[in-house]
Amino acid sequence: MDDPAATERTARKPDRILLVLVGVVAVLVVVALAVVFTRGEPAPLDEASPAGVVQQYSRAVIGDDIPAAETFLTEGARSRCSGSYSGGQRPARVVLISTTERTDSATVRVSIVHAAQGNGPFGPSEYETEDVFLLLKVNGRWMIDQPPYPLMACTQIPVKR
Amino acid sequence: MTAPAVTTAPAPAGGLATLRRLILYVLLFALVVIAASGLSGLLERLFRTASVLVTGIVAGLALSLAFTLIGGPLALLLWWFVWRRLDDESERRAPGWGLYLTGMYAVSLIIATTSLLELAASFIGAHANQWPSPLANGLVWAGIWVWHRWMWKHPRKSPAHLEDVRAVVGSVFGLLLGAGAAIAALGALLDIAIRGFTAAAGFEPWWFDVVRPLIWAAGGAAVWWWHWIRGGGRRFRTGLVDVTIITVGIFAAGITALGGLAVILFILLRLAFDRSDPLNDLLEPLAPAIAAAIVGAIVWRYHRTASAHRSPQTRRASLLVTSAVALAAAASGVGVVVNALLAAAVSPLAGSSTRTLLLGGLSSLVVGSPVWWLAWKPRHQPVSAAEIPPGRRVYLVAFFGVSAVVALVTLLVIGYRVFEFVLGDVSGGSLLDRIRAPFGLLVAAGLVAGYHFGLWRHDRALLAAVPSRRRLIESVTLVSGYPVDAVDPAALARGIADAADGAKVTTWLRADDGGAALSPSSVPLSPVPSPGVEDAIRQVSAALDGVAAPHVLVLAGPGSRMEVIALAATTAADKSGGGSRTRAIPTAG
Repeated sequence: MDDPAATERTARKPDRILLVLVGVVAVLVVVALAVVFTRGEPAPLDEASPAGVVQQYSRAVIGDDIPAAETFLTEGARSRCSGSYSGGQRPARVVLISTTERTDSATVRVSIVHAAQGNGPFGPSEYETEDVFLLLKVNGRWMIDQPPYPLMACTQIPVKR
Repeated sequence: MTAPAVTTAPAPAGGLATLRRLILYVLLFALVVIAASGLSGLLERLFRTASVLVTGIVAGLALSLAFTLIGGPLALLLWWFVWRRLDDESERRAPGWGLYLTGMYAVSLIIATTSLLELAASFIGAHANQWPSPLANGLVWAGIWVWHRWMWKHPRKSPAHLEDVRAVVGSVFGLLLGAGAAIAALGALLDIAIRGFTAAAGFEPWWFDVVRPLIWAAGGAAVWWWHWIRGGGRRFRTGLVDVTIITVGIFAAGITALGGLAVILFILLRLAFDRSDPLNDLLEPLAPAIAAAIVGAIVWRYHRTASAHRSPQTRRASLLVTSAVALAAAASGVGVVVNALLAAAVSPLAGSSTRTLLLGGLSSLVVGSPVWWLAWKPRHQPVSAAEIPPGRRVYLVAFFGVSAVVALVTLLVIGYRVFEFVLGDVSGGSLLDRIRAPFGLLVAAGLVAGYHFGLWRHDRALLAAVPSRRRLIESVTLVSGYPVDAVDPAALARGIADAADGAKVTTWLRADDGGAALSPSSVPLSPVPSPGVEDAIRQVSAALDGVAAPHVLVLAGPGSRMEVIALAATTAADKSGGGSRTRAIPTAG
C-alpha cells in the first residue's frame, strides 16, 4: 500500500499472464487451421506390403466402394462374409499401429477412430478402438483373410439368417 | 449453585421418541405406497373390463386385492393414529413428520403428474387402448397428492420444518420436466421446418410429434408455476432456494444453452467447410440444438434476474458458476484444437475428417470464451485486498485443483503410451495418434492452471500487503447473566463471534438470577438496568480487544458486570505458571 509502484506491478501481472495465454490460444488455433486445411490425402504406402493392402482396403471401405474392397479379400473371407457392418456410420480414420510379417501370413494392428455424432458444450468426442487385420499370402500377393468388424464390407448375401 | 443450561436445550425427547417416530413414519410411507399400488391395479382392471376377452391368470388380481384390502385399512389406521397425535406441538415439530410429508408429497406429485400427462399425450395419435394404466395411476396418486397437500397446508398440524424443501421439489421437478419437454417440442417443430417431412414417420400427421411433448411441457410449466410463483417458492430466503437457483437455473441451464450454441456453430462451420457427410445427416442435430439454446437461455436469464434480487452472495455465486461453465467449454475447445492439430500431423492409412474435429473444437472455444470474458471480466480484476469478493479464492483454488488433477491423469496416460512405444514395436505415427487426446487436455489444463495460479498468487500478494488480522481467539465460552427477555443470548453469541473474528461461541445461561451470592465483590446489580444487546456486544468486543488466548471465558451480566478471562491450554498451564489472565472491566453505571 505504501509503495504504489509495487501495487502497480502486482496489479499488472495477471494482465501479462492473460495476454500470454490469449496469444498461445490464438497461435494454436491459427496453426491448427493452417495444418488441417492444407493437409491432403493420406500418403500411399507400398501396395505390395501388408500395410499397403490394408490401406487400400480401408480406403475403399470408408469410401463405400464395396466391389473394390472385395478384391482385397481372400476366397475364405468372402465366403464367410455375413454382410456389411451395420453398427452405424463408417469409421472416420484408420491409423497404422504396427505390422508383423511372417512368411505366409501377416498381422496388421490398426487404430480405428470413430467420430461420435453430436456435440456437447465440451467439444466433440472421438473414440478409438484397436483391432487387427489378418493377411495371408495368396499367389504371392497379400490378401486380407479377416478384417476387423467395423471395416467389414462385402456384397455377399448370407444364405440363411 | 450455578447449574448451567444450554440455551437451545430441547425438551427431553429422548432417543426412544425419535425411534418411535422413525418406525412410524417409515411404516406409514410403505403402507401408503402399497395401498396406492393395489388400488391403482384394481382400478386399471376395472377400466379394462370392457376390452378384455379372456382372463386367465389371477395372480395379478390377487396381489392387487391383498395390497388394497390389507395395506389400505392399515395405512388409514396408522394415519389416524399419527394425525391424532399431531395436536401435540412437539410431534408437529419433530423432523420425522416433516420428512415423511416431504417425501410422500414429492413421490405423489411426480407419479401423478407423469401419469396424467402420459394419459393426455396418449390421446394424440394412434395409441388407442393405452389409457387405463396411466388413468388409474394418475387418479390414485393425484388423490394422495391432494391429501398430503391438505396436510401440508393444515393450519394447526402442518410440519414446522422443510416448508421450502417441498416448494423446491415441486418447482425443480416442474422446471426440469417443462424445459426438457419444451426442448423436445421446439426441436421437433424446427426439425420439420429445417429438414422437411422426410424424417417424420409416414403414417401420422407431422404435428403429432410436436403436440405430444407440448402437452408434457405445459404440464411441467404448470407444476413449476404452482410451486414457484403461486406457492411462493421464490419468496423463500433460505440457503436451499439459493442453491437450487444456482444449480438448476444457472448451472444446468447454462450448460444446455452453451451446448446448444456450440452445436449450432459447429453445424454452420461444417456446412461451410466440411461437407463430408450427406446434408440430411449433417442437419440432423441442428433443430434440437437451436431448441436447447433457446430454452436454456430463457431459463438461465430468468434465474440470473432472480438471483440479482437476492443476496450478494447468490449474485456472486451465479456469476462464478456461469464463468466456470463457460471456461470449461472454452478450455476443452482448446484441448480439441490441439487434438486436431496432432491428428492432422499423423498420416492415417485411410480416411481424413480431422477437419470435423477441428471445427468442433473451434465452435466450443468460440462459444465459451466470450461468455467467460463477460462473466469473469479478466480486465477488471481486483487491485486491492478490499475488492476481493468472498468465494473468489475458493473458485481459483478449485479451478487450479481440478486442472491439476486433469493434468496428472493425462500425464499418466501419455507416459503409458510413450513407454509402450519405447518398449514395443509400435510405429511413431500411432504414438502421436494415441496421445493426441490426452495431450490436448494437458495443454488446456496447463493453460487454465497457469492462469488461475497467477491470479491466486496475485490475490495472496494483495492480502499480504494488508496488516494481518490473525484469528487469535478460537473459542469463547459465554456465561450470560442477563434476563433472556432483555438480551437475547443467541444474538449476543452471534455478536461476540463476529467481534472475535468468527470464533466458536458456546453459550450458557445462569440458572440463578442474581449471581450476587456467587460473587459478592461484583457491582451491585439492582440499581443498574441490563444493557441492550448492542451495548453488551460492544462491551464484550472492547474487553476482547487485545486478548491473545485460544480460549476465552466471558461472564456477562447481570447488570453491568463484564468479566473476560483468558484461559491457557491445559497442556501449557504448568509451563506458563498458571497463566490465566483476569481482567475485570469496570463499567460506568
